[in-house]
Amino acid sequence: MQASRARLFKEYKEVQREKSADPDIQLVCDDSNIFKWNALIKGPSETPFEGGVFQLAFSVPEQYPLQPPQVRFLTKIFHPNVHFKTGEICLDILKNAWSPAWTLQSVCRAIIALMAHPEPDSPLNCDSGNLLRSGDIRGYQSMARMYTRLAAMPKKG
Amino acid sequence: MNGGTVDSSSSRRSNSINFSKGAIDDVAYSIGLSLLVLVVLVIISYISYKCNRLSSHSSTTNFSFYRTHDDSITAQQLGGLDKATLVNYPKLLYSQAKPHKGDDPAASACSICLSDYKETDMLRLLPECGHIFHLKCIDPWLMLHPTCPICRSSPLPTPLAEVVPTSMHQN
Ligand SMILES: [Zn+2]
Ligand SMILES: [Zn+2]
Repeated sequence: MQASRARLFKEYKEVQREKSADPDIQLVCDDSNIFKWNALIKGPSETPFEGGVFQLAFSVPEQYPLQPPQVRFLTKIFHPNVHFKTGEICLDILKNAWSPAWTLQSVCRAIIALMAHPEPDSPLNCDSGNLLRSGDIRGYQSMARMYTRLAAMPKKG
Repeated sequence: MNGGTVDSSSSRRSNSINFSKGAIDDVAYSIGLSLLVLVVLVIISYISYKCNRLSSHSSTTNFSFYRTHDDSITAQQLGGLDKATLVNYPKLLYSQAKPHKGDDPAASACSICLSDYKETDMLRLLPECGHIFHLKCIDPWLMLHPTCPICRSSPLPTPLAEVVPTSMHQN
C-alpha cells in the first residue's frame, strides 16, 4: 500500500514535469484518490481514430506495480480489442505480460499503439474483429471512423 | 443355646460356602469375560493392523500423488522463484555497483519504485541480464514472476544439461 502510493506519487511528479513531452497523452490524477486516474489520448494519425480524443479510466490496485492497473475506455470506440459496451481493453501488458517497469504513461502509449495495430484474433468486439478477419478493411475503417466522429470528437455548434 | 449356635454356625458356614461358591463363579465369569475381551481385542487389533497396513499404503500413495499434483499446480500458478533460489542471487550496495555501470539511466534509478539509488541502498543484480533493482522491490516480483521487469528475460540460469555439451564442445 505504502509502496504503491510512493510509486504513484513519483509518476504524478513525472507527469507534471514532462507535461509537454508527449502531447498525445494527458494524464490526470483524481484530486482525492491517487489510485484513480484519467487520461485523454489522441487517436493516432492515419487511423480511423485520427482527430478523436479518447478518455481512459485507470483504477490502480494496492499491489501496484506488482499488479497492472485496470484500464478501460470511457469514450465509445469501435476496435476489435475493446469491449464496445464496457470499454474493457484486451492487451497483454495489462494482463500476463505486465512488468512493474511499465508506468501509467507508457500504458497509454501502448494503448495508442494498439489503436493503430488492432489484433483481430483476440477480439472483445466481435463485429469489429470479424470485419478485419474477413479482410473488409474499408468496412472496419468506415465503422470505426463513424464512431470516432460520434463519440470522440467535440460536437460543433 | 448350643444347638442354636451350631445351627447358626452351620448356617453361617453354608452361607459362607454358598458365598465363596458364588465368588468363584464370579471370578470364573470375570476371567472368562476378560479372556473373551482380550481375544476380541487381539482380533480387532490384528484386523486394524492389517487394515492400517493396507490403508496406510494406499494413503501414502494418495498423499504423494496429491503432493506432486499440488506442487505442479503451485509452480504453474505462481511461476515465481522460491526464497532458496533468490538468496543465491548476487546482492550489493549501490556504492559497490556504481563503478560497473555507465550512464545507463536504468542503473541510477530503480525501475520498480522509480526512486534514485542511494549509496547505502541494497540492490539485487540479476545474474542473466545484469539489470539491478532495489532488493526490497525486485524480490516480491521475482517470487511471483521469474522474469526481469526491464528485459523480461528469465533470471533463471540455463539448465546445466544444456550448458555442459557446449562447454565440452568448446574444449
Ligand atoms: Zn526500488
Ligand atoms: Zn534484465
